[in-house]
Amino acid sequence: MSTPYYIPDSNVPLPPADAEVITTACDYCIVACGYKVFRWPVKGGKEGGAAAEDNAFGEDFPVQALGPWVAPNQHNIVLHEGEPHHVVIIPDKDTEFVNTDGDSSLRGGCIAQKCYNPETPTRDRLKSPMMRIYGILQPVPWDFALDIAAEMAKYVIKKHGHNAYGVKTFSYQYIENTYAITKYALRSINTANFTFHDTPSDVSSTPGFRDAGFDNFGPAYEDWMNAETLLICGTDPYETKTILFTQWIMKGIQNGQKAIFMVPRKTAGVAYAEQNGGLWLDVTPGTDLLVVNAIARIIVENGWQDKEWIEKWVNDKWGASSGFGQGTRNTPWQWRTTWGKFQTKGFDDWAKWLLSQDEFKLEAGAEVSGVDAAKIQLAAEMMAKPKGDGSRPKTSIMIEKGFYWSNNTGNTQAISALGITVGAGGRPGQVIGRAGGHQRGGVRGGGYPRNKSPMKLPGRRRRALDTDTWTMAGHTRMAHVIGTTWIQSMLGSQQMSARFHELTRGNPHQIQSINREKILETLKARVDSGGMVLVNQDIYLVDPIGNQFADIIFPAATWGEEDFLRANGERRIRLYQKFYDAPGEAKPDWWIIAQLAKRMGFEGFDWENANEVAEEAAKFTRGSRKDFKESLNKALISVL
Amino acid sequence: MTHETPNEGVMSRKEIAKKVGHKCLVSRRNFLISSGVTTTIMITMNPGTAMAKEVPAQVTEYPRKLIAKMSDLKLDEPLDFTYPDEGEHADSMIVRMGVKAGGGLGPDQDIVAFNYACTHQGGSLMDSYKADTKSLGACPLHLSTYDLTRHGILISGQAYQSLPQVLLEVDGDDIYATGIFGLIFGRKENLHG
Ligand code: SF4
Ligand code: FES
Repeated sequence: MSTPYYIPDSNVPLPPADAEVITTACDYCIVACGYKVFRWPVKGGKEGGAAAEDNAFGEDFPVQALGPWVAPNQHNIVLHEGEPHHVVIIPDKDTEFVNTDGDSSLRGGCIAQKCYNPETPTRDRLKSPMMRIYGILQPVPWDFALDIAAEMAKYVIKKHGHNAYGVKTFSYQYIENTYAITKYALRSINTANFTFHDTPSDVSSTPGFRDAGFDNFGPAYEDWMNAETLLICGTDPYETKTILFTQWIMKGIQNGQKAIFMVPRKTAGVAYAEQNGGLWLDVTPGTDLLVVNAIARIIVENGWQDKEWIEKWVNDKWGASSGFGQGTRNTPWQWRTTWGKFQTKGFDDWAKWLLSQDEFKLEAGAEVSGVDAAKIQLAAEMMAKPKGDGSRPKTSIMIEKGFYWSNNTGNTQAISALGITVGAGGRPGQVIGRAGGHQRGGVRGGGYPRNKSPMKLPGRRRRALDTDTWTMAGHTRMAHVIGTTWIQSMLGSQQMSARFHELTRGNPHQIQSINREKILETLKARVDSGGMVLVNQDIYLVDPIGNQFADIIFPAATWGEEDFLRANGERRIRLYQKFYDAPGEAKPDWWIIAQLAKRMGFEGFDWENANEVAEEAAKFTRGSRKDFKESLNKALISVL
Repeated sequence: MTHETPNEGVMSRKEIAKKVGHKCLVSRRNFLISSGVTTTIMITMNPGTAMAKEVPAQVTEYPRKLIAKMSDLKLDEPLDFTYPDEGEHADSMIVRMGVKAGGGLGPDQDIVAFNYACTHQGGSLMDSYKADTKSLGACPLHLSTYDLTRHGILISGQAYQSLPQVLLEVDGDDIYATGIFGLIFGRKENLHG
């Protein structure tokens, strides 16, 4: 085999002055930077020129720093209405929001490479529905694949119950899709065997924020910039939500902000903060809670807490949710008998508790976490020590998965208490929240049927069904997996993979016919014998859920191939326009779900296009942080 | 600290460009466009594989320019030059690093040359050579850093491609620049801007 090598391009076609311009936003991280797609036909061989009047940017080439340069990676060739078109996709140089300066990360910067083009590695996109016949995934017509899947779903639900139909899905890949999927799974089928890509069961990942009443995504990007001290826990936004750093936090640091990073590794953003008046708390993974409470303890010992904030804005025990239905306080009986036992009576009581715990002493926290005591002390001073004139520093706190996905409840409770102590809440420059990972595209088209979950917490209260153990136990007879790998990320084990194999390919009943009745007979025999039918819906053939285990594959259309909506990390609704044809017969997830739902006899899936789904979904966002009903109304009015 | 007005004290895109862009010796208007004849030859991509195919190689004539003397190159002390012309973003550097490098010249294969314009959004990497890591950066705009031992690949940062490497030839004590590997920031093609 020859060694693969790479010769970089040394020129790039510019969009001609009359190229079409389509606005969109980056598909990747939480920030959702604004982008422009410049599109023009390949036919005719037209190309933009170096002079301002000869290109779509209206700028002379070579361009200055930050100008609309096109890197070779930002160009691609796609099909649009069946005809080859050039596309140049670069960050929006005119935007006033989000990615101000027309900035982008390397991820979004190269997003043109994501578009389907059979000349590039994207040739692997799924282009046709497939069915595993004689052990091999083979292309089949949509109607055939949908018909078999719908028949099997009906059979499984009728014979083995609603919870035998499991849906494991992404929570974020556009509002239209998540709305359709949850409407189908939760409202129409009403299965408790449902969860999102990142948890075995449908639960909150920041329980401490929930208890304290902080919204994960309350802060605006501007707030992160305008904080005078910013504690960042468990992430380096420079690496993973770049523009939030380069366009907002970095400008804050240049303006005097003290950025404190609590992360185990010294990545580029951490190094920048350290060089510019910030601090690195080089914490040993898993010991964050001790550092957080050591900081809180120093603040309390010195009386640096934000007294006014605590007095005026923080609930006492009478105002706070007493936690009914959470943890051990599940029944009225437990609720009465544990009153006052599971929470503090307010700030003073909490402070007393904090001071009575030896592990939160500075020396103890420093020793276990490996962070120098002097740095913990300094962090407390930066965050809460009143200035010479008696005023307080404006302090904000940002957390992300490195922090809240280890010691999840403890860490999020502790950081919430610290947030309250330093006066971080919903105030300009004084905020507490998540930085975010993926963008926020979840809208629920149905409620989770908790009462149908057979799993319980101590006491009588039911908890959301754990789809991993449920499936391992053989209760899932048909699994519908949408846009997630499931196996690698959850129980995350070889056992899970082996069990999936046993339930699907390992079962003696395998499709060996192209006859509809025979196939249904085989799959019915499979589920009745304790096996499982697996439907996988994705944009690529994923290993092993798709290429090794799935019986039926539905190819999905994605970013740029359909009109979509979603929110970013500051609750800003972004619009992602379609600008090219989806590969082959790939279809958006909402369409696939609607086809299945209609075949199963469910009502309310007669959408003609993505817009109709979005309008219906809007009603279900009322009062949520992604409420876009109002903006939709306004947009409709402005169009009319 | 001014925290009252969001974005106060934050420079506009054009203002930053002025500050960080480097000064060229000759303005774009006066520089002589190199008028090399464009020839097209065919090269075989992925030879011997199923994907082997003939593609037109766009070979435009790069000038052969004397940029330094071997005997002038001191360990870890970059020398600046311009290439392939004297237009925008032509500023480049040559350095002997004491470590074997991809495309490295000389007995120790440690002499390399790179363009100075950051391939993210054009920040100038001039004077940012780091002897300890054999890298250029961090870029003053968004902190990209580049590994000069590995064809200018990104170490950490946001660039859309590796830093363009200037191809070198030695003739006795003379080092010539003869071409560029990768597109220079700001240009639509390396020659003719
Ligand atoms: S910061 Fe995030 S949204 Fe912005 S360009 Fe990069 S990946 Fe895309
Ligand atoms: S211009 Fe160099 S990192 Fe952005």
